[in-house]
Amino acid sequence: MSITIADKDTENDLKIVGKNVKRSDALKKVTGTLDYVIDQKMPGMLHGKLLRSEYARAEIIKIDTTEAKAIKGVYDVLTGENLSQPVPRFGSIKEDQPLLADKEVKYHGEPIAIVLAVDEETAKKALKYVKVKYKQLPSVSTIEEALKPNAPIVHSNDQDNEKTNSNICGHWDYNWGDVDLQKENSSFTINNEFEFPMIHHFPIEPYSCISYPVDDELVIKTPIQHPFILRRVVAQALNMELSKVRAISNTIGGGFGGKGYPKIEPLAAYLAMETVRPVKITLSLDEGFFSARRSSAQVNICTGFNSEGFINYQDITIKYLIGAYADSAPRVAGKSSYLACGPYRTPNARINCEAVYSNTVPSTAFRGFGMPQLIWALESQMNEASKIVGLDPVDIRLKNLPEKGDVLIPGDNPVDGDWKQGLRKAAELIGWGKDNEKNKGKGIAIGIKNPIPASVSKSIVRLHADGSVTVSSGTSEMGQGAKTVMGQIAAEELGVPMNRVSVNLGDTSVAPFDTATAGSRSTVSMGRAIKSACDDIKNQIKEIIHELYTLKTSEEMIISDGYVKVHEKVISYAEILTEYMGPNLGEIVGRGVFKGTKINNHPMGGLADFWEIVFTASEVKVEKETGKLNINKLLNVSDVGCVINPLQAEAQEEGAAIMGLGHTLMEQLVYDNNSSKLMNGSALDYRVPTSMDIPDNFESDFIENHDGPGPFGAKGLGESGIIAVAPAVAGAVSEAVGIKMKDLPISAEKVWGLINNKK
Amino acid sequence: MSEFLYHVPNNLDDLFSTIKKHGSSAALLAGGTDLLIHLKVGKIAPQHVIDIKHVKELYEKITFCSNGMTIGALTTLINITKHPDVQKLYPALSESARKVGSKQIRNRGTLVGNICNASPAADTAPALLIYNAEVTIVGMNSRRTIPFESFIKGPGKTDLKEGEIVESLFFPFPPANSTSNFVKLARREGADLTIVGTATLAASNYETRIALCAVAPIPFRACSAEYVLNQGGYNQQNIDKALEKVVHNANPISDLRATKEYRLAMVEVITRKSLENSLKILTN
Amino acid sequence: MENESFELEFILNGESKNIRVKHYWTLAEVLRSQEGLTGTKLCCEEGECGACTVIVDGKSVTSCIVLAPEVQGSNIVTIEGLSQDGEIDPVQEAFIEEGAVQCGYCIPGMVMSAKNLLDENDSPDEEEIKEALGGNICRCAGYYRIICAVQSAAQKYKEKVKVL
Repeated sequence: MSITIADKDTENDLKIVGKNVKRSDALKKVTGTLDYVIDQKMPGMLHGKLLRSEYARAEIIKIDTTEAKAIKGVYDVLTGENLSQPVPRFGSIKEDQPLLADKEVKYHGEPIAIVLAVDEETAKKALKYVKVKYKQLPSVSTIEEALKPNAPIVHSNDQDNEKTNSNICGHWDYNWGDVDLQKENSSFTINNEFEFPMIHHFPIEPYSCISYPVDDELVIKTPIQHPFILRRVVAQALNMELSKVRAISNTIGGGFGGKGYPKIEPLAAYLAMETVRPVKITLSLDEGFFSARRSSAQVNICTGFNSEGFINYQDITIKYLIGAYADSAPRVAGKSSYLACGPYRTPNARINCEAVYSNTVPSTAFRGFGMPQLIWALESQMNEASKIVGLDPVDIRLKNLPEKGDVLIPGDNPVDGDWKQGLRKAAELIGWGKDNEKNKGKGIAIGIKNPIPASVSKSIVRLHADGSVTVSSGTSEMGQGAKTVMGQIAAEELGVPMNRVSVNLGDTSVAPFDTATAGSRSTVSMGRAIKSACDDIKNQIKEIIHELYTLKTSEEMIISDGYVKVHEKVISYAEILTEYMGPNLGEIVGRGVFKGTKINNHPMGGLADFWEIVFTASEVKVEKETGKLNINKLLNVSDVGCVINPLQAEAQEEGAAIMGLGHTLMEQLVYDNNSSKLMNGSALDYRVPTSMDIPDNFESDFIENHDGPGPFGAKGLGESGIIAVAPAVAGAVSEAVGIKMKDLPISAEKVWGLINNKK
Repeated sequence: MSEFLYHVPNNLDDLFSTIKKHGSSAALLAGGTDLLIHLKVGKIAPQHVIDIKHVKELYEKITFCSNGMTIGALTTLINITKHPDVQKLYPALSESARKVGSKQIRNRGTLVGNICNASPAADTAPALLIYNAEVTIVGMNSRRTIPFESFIKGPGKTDLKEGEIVESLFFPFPPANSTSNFVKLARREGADLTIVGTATLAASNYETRIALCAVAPIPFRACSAEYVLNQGGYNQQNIDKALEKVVHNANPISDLRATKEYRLAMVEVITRKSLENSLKILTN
Repeated sequence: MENESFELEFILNGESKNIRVKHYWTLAEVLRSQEGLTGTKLCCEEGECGACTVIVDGKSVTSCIVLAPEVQGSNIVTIEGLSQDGEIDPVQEAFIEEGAVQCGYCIPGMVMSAKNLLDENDSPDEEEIKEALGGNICRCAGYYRIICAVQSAAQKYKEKVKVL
């Protein structure tokens, strides 16, 4: 018997993939009927409000909750002392963060007590009556201070610390070739230090979660990107079995990495178990500033070029300033520094990275996972190199970009796309090479990152008796459009219209395991899992047909577009199921899996499934008198293999670019150096781009060579757009007025200062 | 937010007796776009909030008479930006009102409320200064009109005594053959607090008025600079000299938005820009 | 003060309401908690982000910084009031079609600001649209698509008028 499963890997055959299918959640979102967790309530629910530390580092002498407890409607007020002892701690990498501060606070804004009340208003009111006596202790909030010999130590009792009595949380080294030898052989050596500030995710949906017990199980409903990580972290912190914890990722109103790892959920879970009631904790937007941020970074980069402009070596030292608890920051540091040499052929490399604790908000994943910080340094370095070596910024990049199939990092997957094609396209679209008007300049930069290596995605796809389909997947919907894209993939594969496909996302009790909704991996990894589940269904149909029609091996059947053609007869899925199992009975369950290449002893744990690469270009006009920038044009060209949903893909690229423009031009968390207090943690003081701040023109373009590992040859996207915006803009500024930016944001004042030689 | 009682007097007598009764434990509410934020962050915690929007003697309308324009205590910023005669006769006022907050804020916030907060960075204040606006203040048994220039006393402080409110603002017509505008520098184009804001007025007889916000404890008129131009006219040398005086008058602080050094430099740049805008229109 | 309440009468999405509220409640709180209209979103709670934008007497306002008693006698339209008889407003339609929706949390406020603009100006240019939406932060930063959606909605309104 020969089975033909229609080959969908050519663009022309596709009916649903590659089309502007409308978002399946759009109607609810535009009508305001989609319930985010913050909008939800349950009978008997308690509302929790957190009291946060006024100081960056202090011993808690006494917390008096008597007055607060006496307020009508207050159920309880709890501090670290009132929790089970030792205070449960949680964390995805290190279990270091106490549910509530444990005798000592380590950063300004750390939760130290929680009021549980019948409503939020009462809880808020009672907070004012909790009295705390602190003994202030010295603190650190910069890399320099944290690494001084006698610096206050953030985790003095932590046996886990890389070096005892130090603030170094971890360090990573990546070496290949012989840098020292090449130092003598290079014609040009360029040495610079670049800095990247702390950035807040600023999701418009505030953090809010509800946890409740059901029999001996615990449910946590929350806008979390990685429900399976949440399940593990809560199970570990509360000493429970995975099967007893159900994490439901409710639709996320903006994640960007900030809602990746558990924040308030372990505390809510603990309280739900203790009170045997639903507990909801909602943070204000301002409290979000005390919950997550991007690590700031200091990057020392020394690059050697030979006389023709080829890179001889990179010698890079990276220091990430992480917060008072690890969160996912060590992984950000270790993973991003692996790719510190960027997209270029680098025969010799020495990369040294440290993550340094400080008494500041814990840093975590943030769109680009460390790469915007490193690419800012690397691509600014390349811009300077082009001047020193005497090559055009596009030419020096073309010269050093590898070809498809070349080694990028020894021991990892080779280059998987035509990168020169992407760079040329970006250059062409920005009008590279054409003369600039006065005070105008163009800049170009390349961003790269790898997804999560050795990750796992599983999926279950069910073909129901009526021929409709349900997809269950552990991916979360955070605005990136996973719900629609996963539906499109299943619809295309099974030949069923979109409106007959339901997609269940992010519920650990319903969907099988998925590593994370991060790293631009879902379309590739979960997409593959769904595709393989659909293949599983088709194979089962094949078996059924074989059984029903007792086909001879030479007879052919075709499964395509929701029908099976056999013996010149066209049968629908529903008819097959009815015939095989009886009317209204049964379904076919397809199981799918994607498993990245796991390699023991590999520094990343496995290989990069694909290289997410972006070519960013900008045209900027500088107003010399004020230093103000006008971004005339910004564009991204991304190699995405295959676009599943053009409208959503473009929206992701644009959004990422504008978010990148935020850290390029205006965003920065400011800490007071003496007190280590956060100075601008509110919507009024922390500025993000509005509709009035976007470039005059924006363009996003995709390279679709159908050469990715994902379904239909897709590669991941969503993060790439943010990675190279800053160096592309800085390059344009440099060309316009001849200044060299070393740190961000590129505020008008900074530009003015550099033009006028003031620092 | 603190718990308070909301009062909504419908005439001035009622208003004043409510104010008198609750004294310093009361806060006045017009558009509420600043008050509510102060309440929410706990900057103030009054026990009484008195809404003046329904006081029948107070008005929202913009009215014109033979010698100028009157803006009522309840006139919203959006009405000022949209009024064609304000745009024509008092462009600096119209432009600066447009720079306050977002559209939602301008839909609700009032000009009088904006100036009663006495923020050093109040965008509309320079316009009031260059148009020689007058503030009419009423109390239970009092009524007085003072120049806007002497209304703001310090950051957050005005000349209002307890029991007094601003009833209206009067703007005399600007001099004949004059033009004016407002220029603002901030960190972003969307709603933002000002780094330097300047309003200037220039006339064919060289009558010049220059006022700034966000670069001193209170918005101010740069009188010595004005004098230089009034006397010597608009040649480059005079403008440079005048700008030097403006910078001399400024006394900015360093904050999250900008350093003192940058603000001082921008006082010159932004004031020059505003003056040049005015002169361009004037010479046409 | 605890027990003092204010009798509030207003029109909400075309329906007369008479409810008791606390003096210090904001309009946003009342809409969400008392009326169950959670389409009005809360985010910054200081009038900076626009997620809670509703239309009061024809004007867009951030309902987090309006006291509930202030809307006595007012006519209020929230996102829930835009769809009529199950039919969504052209602005909402355009937001879907143009791909202007991502995480969706800012969208109700954004739609209300867009609606308010188009009610006042049937042919806004790009700058006018940017200014009208300047008080609504979208962190997914779908601004270009949102601007396209407003332009398309303007067209849709005009076509609707022609049909009528």
